[in-house]
Amino acid sequence: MTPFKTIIHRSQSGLAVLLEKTVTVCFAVIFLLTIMLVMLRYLFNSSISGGHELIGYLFIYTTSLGAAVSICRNEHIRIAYFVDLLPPVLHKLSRILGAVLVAAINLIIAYLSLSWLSQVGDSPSPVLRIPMWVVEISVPIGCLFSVLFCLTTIIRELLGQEEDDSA
Amino acid sequence: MTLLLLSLTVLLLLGIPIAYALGLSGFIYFLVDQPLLLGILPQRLYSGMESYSMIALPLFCLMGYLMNAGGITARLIDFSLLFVGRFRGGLGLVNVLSSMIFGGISGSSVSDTASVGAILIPEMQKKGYSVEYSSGITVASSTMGMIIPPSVPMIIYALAAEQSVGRLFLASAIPGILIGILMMVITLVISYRKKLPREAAQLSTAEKKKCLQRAILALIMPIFVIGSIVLGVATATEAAAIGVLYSLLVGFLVFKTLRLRDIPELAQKAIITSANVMIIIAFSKLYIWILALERVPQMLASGVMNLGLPTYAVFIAVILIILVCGTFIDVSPAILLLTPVFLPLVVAFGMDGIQFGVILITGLAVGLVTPPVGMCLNVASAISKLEIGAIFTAALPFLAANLLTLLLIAFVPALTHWLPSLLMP
Repeated sequence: MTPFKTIIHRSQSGLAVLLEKTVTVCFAVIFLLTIMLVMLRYLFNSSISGGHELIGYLFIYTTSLGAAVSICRNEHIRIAYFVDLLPPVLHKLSRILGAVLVAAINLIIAYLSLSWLSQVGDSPSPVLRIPMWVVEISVPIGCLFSVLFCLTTIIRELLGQEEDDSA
Repeated sequence: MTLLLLSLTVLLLLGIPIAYALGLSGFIYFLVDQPLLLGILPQRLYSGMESYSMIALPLFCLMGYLMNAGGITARLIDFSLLFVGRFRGGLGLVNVLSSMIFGGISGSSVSDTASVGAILIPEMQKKGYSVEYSSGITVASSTMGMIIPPSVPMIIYALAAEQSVGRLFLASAIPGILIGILMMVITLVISYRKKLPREAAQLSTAEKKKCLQRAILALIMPIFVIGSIVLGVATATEAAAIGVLYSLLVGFLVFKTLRLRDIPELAQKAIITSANVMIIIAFSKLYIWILALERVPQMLASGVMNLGLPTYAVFIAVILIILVCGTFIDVSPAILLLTPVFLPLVVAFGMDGIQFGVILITGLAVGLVTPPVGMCLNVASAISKLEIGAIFTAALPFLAANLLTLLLIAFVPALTHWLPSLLMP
């Protein structure tokens, strides 16, 4: 592998690992909060103010960031049957086209999010009273990470990463 | 509208991830037909992710992973052997019974094939069963994994169709058990015809008691989880979290097979799996919104009604479409794509959302064991080293149980209505 390819590969993997750890921590907090809320309700007839709200917001972040990680790991659900029938060159082209299209839709959503956030981002959440942009920004953040992973995938495909991996 | 469906079909055939294919086709639709509404795209996506009830999804996945990592499979197989091992072709029956119980714990057909198949396919071969038969019965019986509650696809359907998770769990219990019983009958018939062996070893009472003790903690878990939802003690999300806590306690303190270092990896697997499904759900909300805007479900329902077809013909046509879609599309996206289109249609013909949900999941489960993309076939092929075509051929006799049950669910509503109306009136 050339140094450039190594840098691309390591940056992509490092970022994916960081995001994976972040979503796993969010998931752990979701689990612990849910258990605590059940226990407080039945044992002490009490609750944590904004607990359910926080769980919901963390879940939105896990979806946004987790979807980006899946692009890096190539784990998204797709119908691969017909593409797999293509000869290697066309198969590679379809992978590049796929990455370009996925990057495009993510970039469009990230761009459209700017005006959406500017319109509704300042309104406070119902219980925690945090500005909603703190949660809503997870959408463009996830989209931008997705674009980044698509770009590294395209670069790796163009540099012949597959051949390197198989060798 | 034609542009939306055409672009979606092309993008799906090109192998674009289903979530983004939905997003791209939605964007094309807005750009061409409704450019003023383009700005709602991120807001729709966000509202699709904002679902408290779907937090149950990664928790149910984690519950299944933890139980599996805790070595539940071998215990369930021993437990099943205790009851059906003495009959001719006993290991085949053990395979079916283990899958029935495993389905109630994992909620996933693919993990059922992987876990039960990894132990039973080699074991059955050792005892003189053909590798085709062992693999075929493993994949066919694993279809019960996503039908017998608690079931992950049922939670996704509950969100898509705005139905009660508890009622869906109860409604799918009888059809799931029925498939199991029919598969056992088919197994017995094949076993007597082929003169397959019995499991000779007779266990002493003490050994039977030990076997029961080893499995009982896993057996009560699904009852505990479903019971808490049905009785209104906990929501589906809370029940799933309690199920995770239970699995952790049993795995660490009773089975003593779960290792602390395994937990982060299993949690990560569960939440990434959930993110993959959730992003499809989020984008499918956009697709559902466009369908509603264009009044597609209403047009389809009135169009079919104007054809003057008898109800049974419409139901059979819908079942056939579900079966065909299931062979090409994964279960979760298939639920999200088919529900908004076909639910209003079948409702117009007198079926309710609960009954349709069970039909949809039962039909899509068959797709997991049909080529070209049956996930369970791929898993069984990796274990047995057989071609998926050979496994599918061997599974065909058992799939008769699924197809017969599918027809019974469609034409005998009591099969899905009785238990929910009894326990959740």
